[in-house]
Amino acid sequence: MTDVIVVGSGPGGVNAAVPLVEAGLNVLLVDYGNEDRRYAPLIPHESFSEIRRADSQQHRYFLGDHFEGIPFGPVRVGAQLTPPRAHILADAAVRVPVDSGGFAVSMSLARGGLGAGWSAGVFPFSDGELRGMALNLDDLKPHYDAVAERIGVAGDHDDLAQFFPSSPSMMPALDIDSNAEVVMARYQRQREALNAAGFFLGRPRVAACTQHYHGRGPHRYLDMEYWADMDRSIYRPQWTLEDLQGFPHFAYLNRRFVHSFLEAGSRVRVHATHADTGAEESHEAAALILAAGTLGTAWIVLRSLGCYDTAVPILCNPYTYVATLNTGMLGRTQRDRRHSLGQLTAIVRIPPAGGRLVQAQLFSYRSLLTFKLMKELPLAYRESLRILRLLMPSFAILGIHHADRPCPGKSCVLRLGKGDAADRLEITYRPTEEETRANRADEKVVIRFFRRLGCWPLKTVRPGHGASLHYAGTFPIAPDGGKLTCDVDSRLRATRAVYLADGSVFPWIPPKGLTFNLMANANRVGTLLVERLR
Amino acid sequence: MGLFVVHRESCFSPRVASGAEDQRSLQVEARLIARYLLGRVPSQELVERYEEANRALFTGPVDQEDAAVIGFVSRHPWSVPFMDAASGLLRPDGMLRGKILTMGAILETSPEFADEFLPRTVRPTRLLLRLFVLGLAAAAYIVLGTLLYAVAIRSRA
Repeated sequence: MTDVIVVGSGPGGVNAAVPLVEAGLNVLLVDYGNEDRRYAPLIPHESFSEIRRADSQQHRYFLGDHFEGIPFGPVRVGAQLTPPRAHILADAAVRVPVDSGGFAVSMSLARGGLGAGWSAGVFPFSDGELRGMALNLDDLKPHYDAVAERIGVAGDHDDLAQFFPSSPSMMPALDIDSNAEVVMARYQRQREALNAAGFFLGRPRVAACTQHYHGRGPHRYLDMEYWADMDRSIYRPQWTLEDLQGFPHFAYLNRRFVHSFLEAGSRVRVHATHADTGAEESHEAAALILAAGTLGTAWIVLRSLGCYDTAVPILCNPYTYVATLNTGMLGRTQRDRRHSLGQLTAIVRIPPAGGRLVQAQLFSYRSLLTFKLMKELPLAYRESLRILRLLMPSFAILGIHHADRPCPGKSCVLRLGKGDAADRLEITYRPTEEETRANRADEKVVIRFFRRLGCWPLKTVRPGHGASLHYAGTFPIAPDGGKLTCDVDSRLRATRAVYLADGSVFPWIPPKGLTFNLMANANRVGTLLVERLR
Repeated sequence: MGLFVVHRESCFSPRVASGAEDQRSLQVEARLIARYLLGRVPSQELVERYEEANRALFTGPVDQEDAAVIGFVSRHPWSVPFMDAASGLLRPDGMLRGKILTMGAILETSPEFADEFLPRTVRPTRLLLRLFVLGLAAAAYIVLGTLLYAVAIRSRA
């Protein structure tokens, strides 16, 4: 008999399942499970530059068999999702229709969920941040450590240590590229003054293996992270799913689309549609963990409880890209040995002291291909190409994240589908003017600091609301909330035994990546459930 | 025969090509764009890939301004750099830009042209000089291209 059903194989689902399975409980993970079978086998285990010069089949995975990798129009959300990663978003918009106005919606029905394309940033919340969520670091620290040990984290004990709780199992940081070395050298020369002004720079913590680790890695610096999972060095939830499948009391059921649950007596029944046959089926357990992604979980919960036309909050870290020219790199050669993930992380403490934090990641540009940058210059393509070849080694792209908090303009509502049409989520995301103004002002502060490091801004791109894909906050943990909130164990209050293990439970989101934090909370949910079911 | 082909699904009927003519025109177009971008003629394989990409990507209706620009470039292939420059400013998402971008993508992802898209390192003084010259050239193409663009649009009207 199944003890716990987990819905979704993303970062939350698999990390909630691990403690349950390790405790010997019978766990069924129900998943849609889209995978890329077309492109992954084509990609050679070579470096980006070797592939470019030698592989005559490269156009197939770089551009796609239907040329879907050639982007037209302005920079879109998820521009880094290349043809080999396109399966991550496949089918979701059809299965879970969303009306969202200007809010970009990216949901996943892939094996590994959105985690299959995660940029692998590991940014645990601080105690102060967690206390604003009715949690604290003592609660979550063992789960941060357990997840870090499971997924493998590389990082450094540098100026960012004060913002991120330490991790005992941390491997040495990934090497940074030439671009980042120049920026870091300038930072070191001005470090005291910059720190005093509230600017801190360091190497990002990344879910990557710089050593042999649980059969993965070490990282080979092939610069192909946007295209393939070489040597499994970068963590993907699929690796944990494979480990889980080695346990006899763990069952994985894919090609199922879960659309509702129903509690009856001491059991929870989950209803799903077979993705290929359309057959309806149901599965039963003592408890249910929903980890279908914030939006997917909202759709399932609101349908199951019949909460149509009822607004719940929605959050997503506002995100802005700033293309800068790193003057210290002009005329220098970029090393070929590199990776495409974030090279450096900056935390800016906005004055006055104790005020907001803003986080920025510095990326270099190469492996997403030059023609995509040509499109961004308002010049003839021939001249654009010639200019870009000279300047590209000096490009430093800043990705700036802001915190997000609920407000009346940010809501998510389920509308009943008419006739045979599926129920639709309706998302409204209108931050207050004050919030928008503050974010813009904070970006100027971040840019000013990077200018001191020699990075001169060329173009600011605001890909729009929802761009960070850090969706959260629909059923927040609240000490005394209503039925559409969670208790501190992440149990949905309207239910007896339905737990949420994705972004849904965070009542606000600091300006950090959410993924590692939701993994830690998922591990906590699984651990709490073990105690409860025993 | 037009060098830039508007697809048969388009609403731009006067310059619609079909069948063998369509194929031949796309091939001429591919070679013209490659020569414009990189000064070299691509292999037949890349030309055929460009044809395939056109059939996959440019299937929607063509609006009048795109039709005018494409028509002008078809009649005056020498105008590609100018019209490209003007379109970059006036109509960055237009069909001409889309076609040149598509050929650029195909060339970049082929081993024979990959080096032409990889970064080049030059000494700072040479870099500044090159940027200055390229900037001047780009500005000149934009100025002349904008005039030509107006002529192209008017000729269509």
